[in-house]
Amino acid sequence: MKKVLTRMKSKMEINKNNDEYIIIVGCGRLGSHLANLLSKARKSVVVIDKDEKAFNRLSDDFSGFTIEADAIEIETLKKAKIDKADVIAATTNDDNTNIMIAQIAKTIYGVPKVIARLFEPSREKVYEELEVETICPTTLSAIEFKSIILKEEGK
Amino acid sequence: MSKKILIVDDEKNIRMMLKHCLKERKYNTDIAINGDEALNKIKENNYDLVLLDIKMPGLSGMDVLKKVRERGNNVNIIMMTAYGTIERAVEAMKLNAIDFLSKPFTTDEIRSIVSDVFSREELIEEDLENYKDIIEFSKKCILNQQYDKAKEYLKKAIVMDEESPEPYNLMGVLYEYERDIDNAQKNYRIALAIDPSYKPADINLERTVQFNYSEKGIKLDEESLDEDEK
Repeated sequence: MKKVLTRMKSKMEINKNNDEYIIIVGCGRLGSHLANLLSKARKSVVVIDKDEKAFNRLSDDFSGFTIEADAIEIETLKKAKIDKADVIAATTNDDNTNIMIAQIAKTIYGVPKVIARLFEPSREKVYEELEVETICPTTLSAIEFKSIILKEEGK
Repeated sequence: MSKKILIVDDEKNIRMMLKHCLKERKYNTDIAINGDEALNKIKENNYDLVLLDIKMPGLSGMDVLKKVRERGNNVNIIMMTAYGTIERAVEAMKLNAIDFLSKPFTTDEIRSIVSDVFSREELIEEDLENYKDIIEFSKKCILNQQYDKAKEYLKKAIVMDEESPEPYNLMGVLYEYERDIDNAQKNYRIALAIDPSYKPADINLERTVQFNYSEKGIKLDEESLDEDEK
């Protein structure tokens, strides 16, 4: 119940301010795609990646900021104005990096909505305790696989 | 008639973001991708405002600002800075650019700073109604190099709202113009005492303190080292 309430509260806070400020950590296949979609939806987007070449994945009409730096350094997050962020999405391919960034965002800066990608489903519990939402590609793919297989079986 | 704004930035993402955002507000926009192009366009057109990136390859934003002012052009300029480059603010302010937009910014921030700049133009001395008007009017005085008048109005702002750090910070900047670092620091400190999280004063104080420390360092080496050791 408490969890639902805090989630609702953070959603309300976001809706109140229609000019969402979103930080995406990692400009890989997932991060860049997400950045393109959000930029298209006219959100203020900042993408952080330590490899400048990664920004080539952004589409031509991406209209946001890019910061070439290591996001596990607090100076980088300050540079991205994390204190003002409405949402932060940690999308690097390393679970530990993602959890660390999510934790900094949640506990030090009180970012209202923190979402992290997580490959290892068994770690989901740790994030729950931190009130960090997670997207687990492993679980999501399993569900999709299952639904396709079972649908075919049902035919 | 809608206002004409020139956007100067070497990064395409940012030019597009600014363009979209200002077009929504029915401003007329034009674009320059480097300092040279900006100078030419400013020469040939009458812009109401220029959004100028400080960090560009070739001619930097500061160079452009200097050249524009040398030609006697007093167009409104908002400087866009990256994180940590605010130390050049005083330099820019002396060249009559007192508005700064620090990257990364949101579309809301762009709209509000642009409308502040335009509404400031319309302020008349006899017509100042509230605290915000007075602050904006003193900025206008700074832009017109009427520093004494700016101080006078900043004092009025302080009387009106004792809880706000902004007038103290601006007062500090004016003292820095006069190279009166002690008084500048005093004002930055008051601003911080009112609101410890007020960034401009924090950065200004840090900068001037560093400046002082380095001066002291030089002195210690040359003259007062003996005394200190005694």
